Amino acid sequence: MLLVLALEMLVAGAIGLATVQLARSEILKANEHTAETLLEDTLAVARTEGPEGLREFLTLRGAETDDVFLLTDGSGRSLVGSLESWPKAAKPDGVYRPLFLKATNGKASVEFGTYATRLSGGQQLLVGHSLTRSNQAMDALLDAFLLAALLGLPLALVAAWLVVQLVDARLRNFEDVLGNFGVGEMDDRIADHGTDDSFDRLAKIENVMMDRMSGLIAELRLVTDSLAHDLRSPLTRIQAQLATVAESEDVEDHKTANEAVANDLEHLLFVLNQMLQIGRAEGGVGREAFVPVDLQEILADLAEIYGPVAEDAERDITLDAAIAAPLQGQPDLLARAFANLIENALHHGAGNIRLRLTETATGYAIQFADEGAGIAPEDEAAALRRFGRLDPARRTPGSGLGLALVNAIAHLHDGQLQFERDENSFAVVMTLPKPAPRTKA
Amino acid sequence: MPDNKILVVEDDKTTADFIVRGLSEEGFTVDHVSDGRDGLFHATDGSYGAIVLDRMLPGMDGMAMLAALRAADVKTPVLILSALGSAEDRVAGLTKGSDDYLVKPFVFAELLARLKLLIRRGSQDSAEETRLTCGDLSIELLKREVRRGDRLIELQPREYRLLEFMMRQAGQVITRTMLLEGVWDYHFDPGTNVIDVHISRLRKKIDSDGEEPLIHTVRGAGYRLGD
Repeated sequence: MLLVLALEMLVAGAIGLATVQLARSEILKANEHTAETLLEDTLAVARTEGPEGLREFLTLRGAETDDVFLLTDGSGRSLVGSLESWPKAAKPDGVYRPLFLKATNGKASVEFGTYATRLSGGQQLLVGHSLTRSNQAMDALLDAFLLAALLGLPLALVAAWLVVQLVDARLRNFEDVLGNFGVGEMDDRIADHGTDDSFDRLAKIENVMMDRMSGLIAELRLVTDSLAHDLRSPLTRIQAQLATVAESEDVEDHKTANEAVANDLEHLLFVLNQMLQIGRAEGGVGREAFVPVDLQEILADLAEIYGPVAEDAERDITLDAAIAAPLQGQPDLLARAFANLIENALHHGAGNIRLRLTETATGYAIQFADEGAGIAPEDEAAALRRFGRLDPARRTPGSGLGLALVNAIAHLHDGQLQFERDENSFAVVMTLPKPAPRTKA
Repeated sequence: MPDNKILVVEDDKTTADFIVRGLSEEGFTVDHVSDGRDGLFHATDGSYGAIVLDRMLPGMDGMAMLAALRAADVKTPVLILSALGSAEDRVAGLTKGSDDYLVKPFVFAELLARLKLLIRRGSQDSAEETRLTCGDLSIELLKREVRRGDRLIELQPREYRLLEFMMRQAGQVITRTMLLEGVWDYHFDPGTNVIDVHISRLRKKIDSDGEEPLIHTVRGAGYRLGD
């Protein structure tokens, strides 16, 4: 921080000095120009007015202005002017020279910008423009710069110190919260100052990241716990069954145990496969195997596959899909997801089941509606979680992975899952985006 | 055709023993090798009715062996056994020249049913059939007409497709997932008794009271049409 400050001061100093230098050279150039004009004016008077006019002009200008003049004859004797004598340093060669001269009416030697030249008839003319004012201006400029530097340095130091304090305070909040997060205290979030500066923006990004991570970790914990529970129960049963028949000589006992173990194993494999499928779909694995599919066809197939099942339960599946809905996707996974939603409606819903395919502005919406109470709004999040079985469903068979898998499959296809309800129906709606229009090569 | 000769390429000894024993009991002659190179060496003589190939093998990967086999123009049906169970692995296996794909762990009855289907398919002549029969049940494929003896049976389209699929595998065990694949072309394990419901409806129309039942339930495996 101090290094930056020092560097800044150095740069500021250099810029200041360069500015002063530039101003100085401009002033000097202006001085030379003024003196030159003075000489030209005087020569013009000499040309037009003659020697008498020149004398008159010099007398008048010498009295009225700060300028100095001296006209001498060929031998160097003063004829008219505001100088006592011809200065030694002045040469009648038409070259600009700043010289210190004492005017006859002046108290001390001051600086003049001078030109000296030889006139016809051997006379020599010297004109000098007073540099007192411009020198004062230059001194003032330098003073101002020095003053600015003197005042500015402490001010800059104070400002820098304040900035350092401010940045430090904001960063300390980041340090504290992220540090805590790193060691497992995940509830704190970085304060939002509402200023929309870069710290706020960074804080927002970090907060979103922490929300997502803590959400995932919470879900992972839940999944691990539930997985442990759901796997341990059948494993315990298998262990018990095997232990029970280990000593038995009865073939029937072994057959019964065998069948029970096979059932439990089947359930275990089912749960494991579901978990793996969810993990893969959530991880986006499988997009490379997408093929053209038509949602209308898949829905028609599933209505056909599940129609008799619904009829046996004295319920009805109706299909309202009048449009073709082409998409890039994985047909088996989409069919699996739709089958899960239909099975949910069959097992947990009531009344007729209606499948409806509609086109939206950006894609397709597939509605799976039934006439049951559905999932309560407060249970929606739990229903989408792995093992998120809602309490009444604990008593019915199922892994609690169905909707989580549907959700994962929707995500794999860049889609979403939503719930819709009104007085006498409940619907799960999957929205899937249309493929981007193919650009011509 | 040496249809009853099967090559099993599987490196896990327990699984291999299980398959070999089961297939031998079913009357197949089984050769077993445990790596891909030996597998390729045996398979290229073309004397097998089908090959059961583990996807992950030492020496030469199962998929590489399959590719080499197909490159050598050996058309023996291959059933891949894999611990990779996801949809895209299955699709990849099927597009790379295998004829069927079974995920580990599997029920032996499923393996057996699928192998028999592969072998039958391999040996069927490709001439278009116009009529399928099983006992006194017959389908006129062109007219889509189903008869049991003299009785004309009205079937819904899905029931017709189901019956046609079963008739083509008459006498063989067909599992529920094979039915879902064969009739609707989806590969997933339906959680409920979906297939059973379809079969029971078909059964009501095919097997009337007093008639010899043709659709048999095979416990722990699936269904069989005829004996």
